[in-house]
Amino acid sequence: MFYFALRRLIQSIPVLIIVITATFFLVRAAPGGPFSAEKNVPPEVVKALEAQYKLDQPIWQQYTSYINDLIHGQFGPSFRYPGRTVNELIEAGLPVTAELALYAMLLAVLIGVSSGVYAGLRPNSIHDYLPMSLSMIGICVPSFLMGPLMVLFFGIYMEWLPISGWGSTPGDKILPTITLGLGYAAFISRLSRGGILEVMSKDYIRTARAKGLPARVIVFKHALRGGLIPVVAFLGPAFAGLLSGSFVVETIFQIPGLGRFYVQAAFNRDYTMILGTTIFFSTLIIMFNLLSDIVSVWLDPKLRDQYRHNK
Amino acid sequence: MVEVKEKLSYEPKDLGGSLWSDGWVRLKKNKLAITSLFVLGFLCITAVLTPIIAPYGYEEQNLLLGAVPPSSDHWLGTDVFGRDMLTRIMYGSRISLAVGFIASGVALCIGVLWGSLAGYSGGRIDAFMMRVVDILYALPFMIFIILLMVIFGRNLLLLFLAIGAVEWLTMARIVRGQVLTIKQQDFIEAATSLGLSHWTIVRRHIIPNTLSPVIVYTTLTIPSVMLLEAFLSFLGLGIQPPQSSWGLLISYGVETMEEYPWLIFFPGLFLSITLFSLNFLGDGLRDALDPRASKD
Amino acid sequence: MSLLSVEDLTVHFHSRNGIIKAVKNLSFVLDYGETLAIVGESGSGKSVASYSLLDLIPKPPGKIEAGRAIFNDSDLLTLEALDLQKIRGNEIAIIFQDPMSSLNPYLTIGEQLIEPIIYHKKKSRKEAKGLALSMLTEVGLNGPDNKFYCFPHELSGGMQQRVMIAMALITKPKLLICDEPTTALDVTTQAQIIRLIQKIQKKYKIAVIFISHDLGVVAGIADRIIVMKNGEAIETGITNDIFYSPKTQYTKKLLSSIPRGEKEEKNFSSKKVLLRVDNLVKYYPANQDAFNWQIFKSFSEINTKKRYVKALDSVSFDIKKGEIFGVVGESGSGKSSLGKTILQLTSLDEGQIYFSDKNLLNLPSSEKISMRKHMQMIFQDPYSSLNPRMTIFDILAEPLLYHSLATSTNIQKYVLSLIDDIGLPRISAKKYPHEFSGGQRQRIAIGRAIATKPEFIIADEPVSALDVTVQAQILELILNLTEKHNMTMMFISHDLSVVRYLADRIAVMQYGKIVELNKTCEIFSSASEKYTKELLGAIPLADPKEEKKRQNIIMSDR
Repeated sequence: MFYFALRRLIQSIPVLIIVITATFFLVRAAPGGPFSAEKNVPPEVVKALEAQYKLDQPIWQQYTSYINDLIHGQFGPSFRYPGRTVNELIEAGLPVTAELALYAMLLAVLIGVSSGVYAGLRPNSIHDYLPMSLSMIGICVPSFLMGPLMVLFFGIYMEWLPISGWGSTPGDKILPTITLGLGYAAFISRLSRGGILEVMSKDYIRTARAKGLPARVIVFKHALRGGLIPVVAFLGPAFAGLLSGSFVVETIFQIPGLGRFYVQAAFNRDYTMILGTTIFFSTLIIMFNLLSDIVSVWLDPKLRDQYRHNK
Repeated sequence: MVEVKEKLSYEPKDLGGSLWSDGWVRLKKNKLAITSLFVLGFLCITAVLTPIIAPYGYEEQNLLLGAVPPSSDHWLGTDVFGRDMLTRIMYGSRISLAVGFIASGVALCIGVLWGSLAGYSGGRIDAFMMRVVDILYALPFMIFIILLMVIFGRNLLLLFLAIGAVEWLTMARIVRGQVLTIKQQDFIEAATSLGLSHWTIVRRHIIPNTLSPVIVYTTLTIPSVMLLEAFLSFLGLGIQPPQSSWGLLISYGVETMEEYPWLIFFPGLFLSITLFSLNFLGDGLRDALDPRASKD
Repeated sequence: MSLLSVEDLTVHFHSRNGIIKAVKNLSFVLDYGETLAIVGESGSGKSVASYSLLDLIPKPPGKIEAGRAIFNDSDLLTLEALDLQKIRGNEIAIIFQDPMSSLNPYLTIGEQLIEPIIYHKKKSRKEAKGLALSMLTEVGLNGPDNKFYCFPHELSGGMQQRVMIAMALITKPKLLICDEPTTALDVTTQAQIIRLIQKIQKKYKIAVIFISHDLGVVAGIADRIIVMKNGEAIETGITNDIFYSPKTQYTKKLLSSIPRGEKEEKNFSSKKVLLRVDNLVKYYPANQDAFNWQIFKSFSEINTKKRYVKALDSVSFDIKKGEIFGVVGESGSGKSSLGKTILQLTSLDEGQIYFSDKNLLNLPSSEKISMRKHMQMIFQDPYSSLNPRMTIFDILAEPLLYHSLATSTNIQKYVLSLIDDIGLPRISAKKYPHEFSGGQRQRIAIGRAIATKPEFIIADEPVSALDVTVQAQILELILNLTEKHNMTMMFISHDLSVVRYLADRIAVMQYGKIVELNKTCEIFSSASEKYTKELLGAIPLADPKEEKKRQNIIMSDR
C-alpha cells in the first residue's frame, strides 16, 4: 500500500511540472508582455521585477531561476502592491479560504451523506422524493445565484445574518459556508443515494439480512462501506470545485480570502500574483486528488491486493 | 463454472419493438421528463426566433425610465438603462444555450472519438490514451480557463474551446467504459469470428450500443457547460458586452440587487429552469434507456 | 410434530405492467432432520418460496398474498419484524448460490463469521472467534487462523461456499435452506460441498431444504422432493418415487431431459483429418481481470517475475471429418481458451493449427476472411451473444451477405429457411433479441453459426446457461443440424453427461493440458487417469440408488 502511494505521488510530479511550466509560459505569452505594457507601474516594482525575473536573460534561464525560487518557496513580488510579495498575500489569504473551504466541505459531506443515505434507504417514497427534489435545487441554482439571493433574504430583508466579512461579526461565516457548500451537498446527496441504492441490492446485503442482523448493523457496517465509495472518489474533484467556488463566494460576501485576491489579480492583470496563486492552488488540488485516489484504493480490499502485487 | 441464475424477474416482459421504441414508451410515462422536454423545446425555439419576436430592440435604452419593476409594458421590468429585461433575457438565452449545446457538441465529438478508439484498441494504445486523460483530469482546469481568459482576453471562440476541452475528458471515460463492456459481450466475438473488419464491427455493433449512455451523458453535460459559462461570465471572464448571457445578466443584477431585485431574479429563474429541465430530462433518459430494464 | 409446516403459500409481484404470480398455493411439511429438495426450472418459484419464509423478497413489488408457515408454534409470515429477525440466521439459516457475491468483499470472513454469534447468542467477540475457528475446521478449511483474517476474494469458490456454510451453521440452526449452493461451483467441488452438507446435517440433526434446478444433484441427498413449475407444486413425493415412478408429465419430462447414455460408437479411421493442432501454448498475464483464484492457484509453473499463467500447455490433437470431439474440464482447465485460439479470437503464443491441411496462422490475408466461413462458434451466454440492437433477420443475414453467399434479392429466402431450420416461427425475423427466452436466443445463435454452412463448429458450453428441459431441446437441435449438414464439431463443456451423450471422442483437460483423450466409451468404462476418475466420480447421477452406493469423498478443500 505504501509503495502504491509512493508510486502515485511520483506520478503526480510530472503533472505538477506541466502545470508550472504551462502557467509560466502562458503568462509570458500574454499579448503585449506582462511587464512592459503597463504604463503606470511604479518604478520600484519594475526594479524589483527586473531583479527577480532577470528579464534581459534568455527565457530558459528565467524559467529555471523561477523554478529555483519556487523550490525555495519564493513566489516573487506582487505586481500591484508594491513592497508586498506574493508570498505575503498568499499567507494572508490562505487561512481564510482554507477555513471557508473546510467548513463548506464538512457541510457538504454531513448534509449530503446523511440525506442521501436516508433517501436511499426508503426509495420511491416521500422520504426519497423530497430530499432529491431539494438536492436538484441545490444543483441547478448555482452559488453565484444562491448567494445573492440568500444575502437578499437573510441579510437584507430579514436581517438575521451578516452579509460580509469573515470572523469580524459573529455569524458571518454562516451564509458564505452555506452558499459554497450547498451545491456540493446536493451533489453528494445524489451520489450517496445512488451508492446506497446500488449496494442495498447486492447479494451480500441479502446475506446480512438472512443472518438476522439488526438493521443498523446492516446499514452502517455492511452497506455504507461499499455505498460511499463514489462519494470518496468525488471528494478530490469536489475540493477543486470548492476552491474555485470560493472565488465567487468571497467576492459576493467580501471575504478577504485567497480566492478573492485571485479574482482581483485576474482583473488587475497582476501577473505575478496570478502565476503564484495558480501554482499554489494547482498544487493543493493535485495533492488532494492524490489523497482521494489513494484512499479509494485503500478502501477496497480487492484493489489493495491488486496493487500490492502489481509493483 | 457456470451459473444458471434463478431469474427473479419481477416485471413481465417488455412489449415488442426495438430498444429505442421501448425507451421512448418508457420516457413518455415519465411526466417530469416530458415536461422538461417541452420546456426546453420552447426555450430553444424562442431563442432562435428572438430577433423576430423580441418586444424591444436589444440595445434600446430608455434612460428616462430607468429601472422599473415588471409592468404591462415591460413584462420582466427594465434595467438601469431602461433596457427591457425580457428582451435582454431572450438574447441572453441565445448565447447561454448556444454555448451549452456547442461546447457539449465539441466535448461529445472529441470524447466519443477518443474513448471509443481507446476502448476498442485496448492494450498499450488504450493505456496511453487514458493516461493522457488522467493527467489532464488532474489539472485544475477552472484555474487554467481563468488564466486563459485573463491572458488572451474574452473571446467567444476561446470560451467554446476551453469549456469543451474540460468536458470531453469525462465523456471519453464514459465512452471507453461502455466500449469495454460491449467488447466483452459474445456478439462482438461472433462478429470477429465472421471475419468482419474492425471498422465494420465498430460501426455496426459497437457504436449503436454506446449511444444510450452517450445521449444521457450529453444531456447532462449541457447544464454543466452552461453553469461553467455562467460562472465565468459572472466573474467577468466570460462573455463580453455588448453580448450578454444569463450569467452576465446575473452578475449585473447582483450589483444592484437590493434596489432592483428583479434584475437578478428573472435571469436566475430562467437559468435555473433550463438547468432543471436538462437534468430531469437527462435523468429520465437514463431511466428510459437503461438496458437493465429490457434484459430479463 | 413437524418442524415447519407451510400451507397455501401464495406470493405475487406487483409491477406497473401487471402481476406475476410467483408462488401459488404451495404447501409442504418438513420434519426435524429431514432433507427436502425443491426442484424446478427458472420461474418455477422455488427460490421465491423459500425467501418469503424469511422475509427476504423485496417487498414493494413482492407481496405475500396468503398462506401460513408454522415454525416453532408461530407463523413466520405474520411475525413481527424484530421477532423474525431473531429467527433468521439463528434457527433458520440460508446459503446462497454465488458465494463470491454473497460475502461482503470489504470485511474479513472472520468478521462476517462471528456476527451471528454476537447478535443472536450475545457472546463476546473472543468467544465468538473461538467458535468461528472451530467451525472453519469443521467445514474443512485448513489453517483456520489465517483464513479468519482473509478477505473473500482471497479464497476459491469452494472455500467461499464452505465459509458460507460455516456462517449459516455457527448458531446451530434447526433448519438450513440451501439455494442452489453448488451451481456456481466446479463439478468436483460440488460433490465435496454436498457431502459436507450431508455430514453436518447428520451430526447436528439439521433439517435441510435444498433448492436446485438439477434433479441429478438432489438424487443422493433428498428424502423427499417437490417438483415446481410456474409457482405450483406439480408433484411431491419421496425420492425413490419421484425418480422411479414419476406420476406427472412434467416430472417425466424433467427426468428424460437429463442426458443419459452414450452415443453409438462410430468408426472414423477412414475419415480425413479436418483439424489438427500442434503444441498450442497460450499465456495470460495473471493479474488481468478480477483476481481469479482458480486460475491463479492451480499453476505450479507461475513465472513469478512476469506473473503469467499458462492457459494452454502444449495441447495437440486431431479431429476427423464428421466427428464430434468433446472437450471437458473445470474452470481454469483452458478449454475455453482452446476454442478461442482455434478460431483465432485470441492470439496464440506457440503452436500451429491446420485446417484441411492449411496452416491457419500463415494464411495470405485474402484467404483469411474466406476461411472464416468454414469455421464458426456457438457461444455460452445467450444473453450476450446477440447484438441487442439488431433484428433477428439482420443477425442471420449478416454472415450470408458478408461472405456473398446471398444477394439482396434472395436473402429473404435464405434467412427464412434458416429460421425454419432452428425451429422458430417465421415472424421472429422482425423481432429483437430481448423479446426471446434464453433457449430461443440460443437457437438464433446456432442459426447464425450454421448460416454459412461451415464445415467445422465449435460449441463453447452452448447449453450450460439453460434450463434442463430447454437443454435437451437445444442438444437435439445441435445433433440434428450437425448430421443434416455433415458438420464436424468440437463440443466444449464442464458437464460430462452432456458430452457423453454427444461426443465420439473426449479430451479431458486440466491446468491447460490434455490429461486423457479417448473414445467416449473407453473414458466412461475404463478411464486411466486419476483426474478423469475424480471427474467421473463427481458427476451427479439421477439415480438415488446409485448415488447411495458411492464412496465418500475426502472432505477438505483443495
